[in-house]
Amino acid sequence: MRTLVVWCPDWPLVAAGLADVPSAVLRANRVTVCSAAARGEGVALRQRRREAEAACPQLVLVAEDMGRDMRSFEAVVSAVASFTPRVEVSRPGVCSLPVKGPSRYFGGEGPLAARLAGAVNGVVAARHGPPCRIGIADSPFAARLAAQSAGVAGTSAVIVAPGETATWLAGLPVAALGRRDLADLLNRLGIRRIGEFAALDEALVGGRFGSEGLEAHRLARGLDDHVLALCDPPPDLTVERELESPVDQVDTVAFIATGIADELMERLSPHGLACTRLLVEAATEHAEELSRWWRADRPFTSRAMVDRVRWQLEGWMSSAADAPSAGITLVRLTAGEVVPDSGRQVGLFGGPAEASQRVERGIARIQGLLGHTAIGTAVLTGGRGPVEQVCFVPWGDPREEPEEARYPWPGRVPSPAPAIVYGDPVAVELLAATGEPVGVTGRGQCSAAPAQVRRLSPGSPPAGCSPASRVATVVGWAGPWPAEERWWDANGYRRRARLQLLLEDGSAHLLVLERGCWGIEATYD
Amino acid sequence: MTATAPVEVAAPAGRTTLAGAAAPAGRVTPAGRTELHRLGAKVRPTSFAGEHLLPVTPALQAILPAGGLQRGSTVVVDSRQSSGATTLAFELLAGPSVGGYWCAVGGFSEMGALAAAERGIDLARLVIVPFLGSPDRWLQVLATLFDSVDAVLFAPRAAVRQSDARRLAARSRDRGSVLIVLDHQGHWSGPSDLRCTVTGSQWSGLSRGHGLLASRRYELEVSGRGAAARPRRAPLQLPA
Repeated sequence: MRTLVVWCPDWPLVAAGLADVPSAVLRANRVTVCSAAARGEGVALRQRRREAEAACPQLVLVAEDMGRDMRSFEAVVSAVASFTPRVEVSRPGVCSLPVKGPSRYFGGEGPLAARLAGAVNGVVAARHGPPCRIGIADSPFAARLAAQSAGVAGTSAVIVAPGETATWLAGLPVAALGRRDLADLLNRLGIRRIGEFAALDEALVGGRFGSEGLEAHRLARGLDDHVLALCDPPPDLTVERELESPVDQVDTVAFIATGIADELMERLSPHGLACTRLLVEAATEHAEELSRWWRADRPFTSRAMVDRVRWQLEGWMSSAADAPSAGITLVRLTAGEVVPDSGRQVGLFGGPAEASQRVERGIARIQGLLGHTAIGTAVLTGGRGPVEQVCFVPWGDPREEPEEARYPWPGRVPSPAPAIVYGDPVAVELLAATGEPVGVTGRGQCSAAPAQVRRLSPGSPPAGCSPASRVATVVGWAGPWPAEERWWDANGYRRRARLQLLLEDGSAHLLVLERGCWGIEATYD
Repeated sequence: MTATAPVEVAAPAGRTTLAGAAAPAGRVTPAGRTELHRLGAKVRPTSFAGEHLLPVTPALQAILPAGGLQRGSTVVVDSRQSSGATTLAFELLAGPSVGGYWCAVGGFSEMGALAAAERGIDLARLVIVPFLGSPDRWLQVLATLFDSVDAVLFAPRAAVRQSDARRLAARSRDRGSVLIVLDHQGHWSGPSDLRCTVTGSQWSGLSRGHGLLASRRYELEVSGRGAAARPRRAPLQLPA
């Protein structure tokens, strides 16, 4: 399919607002994008951070952030979408569109490319970015290469005439196919140009290089690599309202939010969409901002949205540390995640959905006070130690019991489970009757019978009942249960042994030995 | 199963006969009508306070004076004398949870949820707030929990002011939810309708180098107000 590709060079830097200074984007300590000014100083792609900084000391470095790039690229996409609604965004900085319809409307491919370049450059220039490049060819892949070659040639557009794509591609090196391993191999086989690769018999290429080779072969012949995934641009899912005069009453803001929420619902419903994740943003006259994501199991109704606004503002205004110093001047709602609206099914005779409504309202209110992750439920996840066996799931996040919970987990300490589990084990010393420290041998046996446990950390024990006194006599013990976990993984590898311990004061504890240090991991309170 | 299952009890039948209403059949005199209204107002609370009970597990049924957890009451589990209070508090919460009610745990970040599940608590209906937040927030958070669930387990981390404790107890009474205070270190000085003190506990099953922790025998002392005014002592075996 004849395709036009708009390429905005160095887009991540344009998005960060750094396109006109020496700057680079780093990923895993390597330069992935650098600005023209930085290139002039000798910074190159795939350089290490240290090399790049050595080449250009005043280099500004930013981390890769796909979200930032994508958000700011929306402006370019909407400029392109004013020409045709069928725009596909490949990655931030590159978008493509089928050229057949628009070129007929705008009087040919040349005029279309010129108009498009004008519209996009208007957006990019506002961010001090370099002008965009446009390529038109018979396949999206060739169009992308054409756009890049426009950058090299210094023209704004390269248009490959219809039917000429294979010929145009033939002169390029095989590395341009974008498959490094394949290009490496082809070079060693003496095939250096795309044209030479395209001239090979398809069946032979398939036999030698497999499906990946066949795909590259299609590209080399100037055929479509894939059909563009086209859909209407998503509706604008943000509704905001600026308030004429600052408002410092939560109720008033909530009243205004009712209108905003209704408007957002009206934008969603014609598309058959419902929102399950909502971003509520508010700003004050003094430019203080508060934004928070809200998530719900069930799609938000407009009333639920207003509730979220109210709770968030109540939480903000009543907080001691960072209460706003002026009235609210801006409220903005953004639908973050949308799902097809399948309606709400209420159970017969009320049912669990109705019953938990009271609970849900209370929880959402607490989330407004303490934050999304402060309240939730526990899920059993399976594991050996008491800490790993339970996972805390914030309210609103999907609550799924993983299959591992039902696995046998050899080495797990049998039931009953300890009622108090400390986040960090309380460091102790376990001593035998002779005063020697007790260890665990390679065969999983205690080196001596434990007789005494002594708490190492000074001060009072944490809440609960780790032995109140610093030294306690052991009257019973069982174990050890050795657990050697994730030995195949250098970072996750842990070797531990656990011991049940009964002390003279009647309290029972679960001790864990790791790297030669004993700690009270949990208490059977 | 619904979250709230208020128990409605009809007014005792014998007390509804009255002289004013003994008019000829089908006719009520104006005087009789006012008398009826007066009596109607008198018997309007159609459920007895004693019927507002949350269910408890069979093991606790014999021990608690009312045979259940009174809605709106404050229960303090005191373990200053001996260990074992946390399991007992889970056991108290297990009854309502099994009965389909929603429960919550506030300010108890060290809670062993697995132990709670073993006592029978349904983790899907147990709302957990590990940290209650800053000193100016925790009262509000707990009060909101009373609004939304039927039983709240609260483990104070620091001494609770008497005035705050009274406000909490009043809130739970107002909302008809049960406040269970798990008091490890004597932080709760507020009112309590029921006080379960663990006076002794003994593990069985574990000896020197062999066996396993199997079961624990509790000595409980239950005291409180009203029917529980006279302290009762009772043994309890957990897990049974």
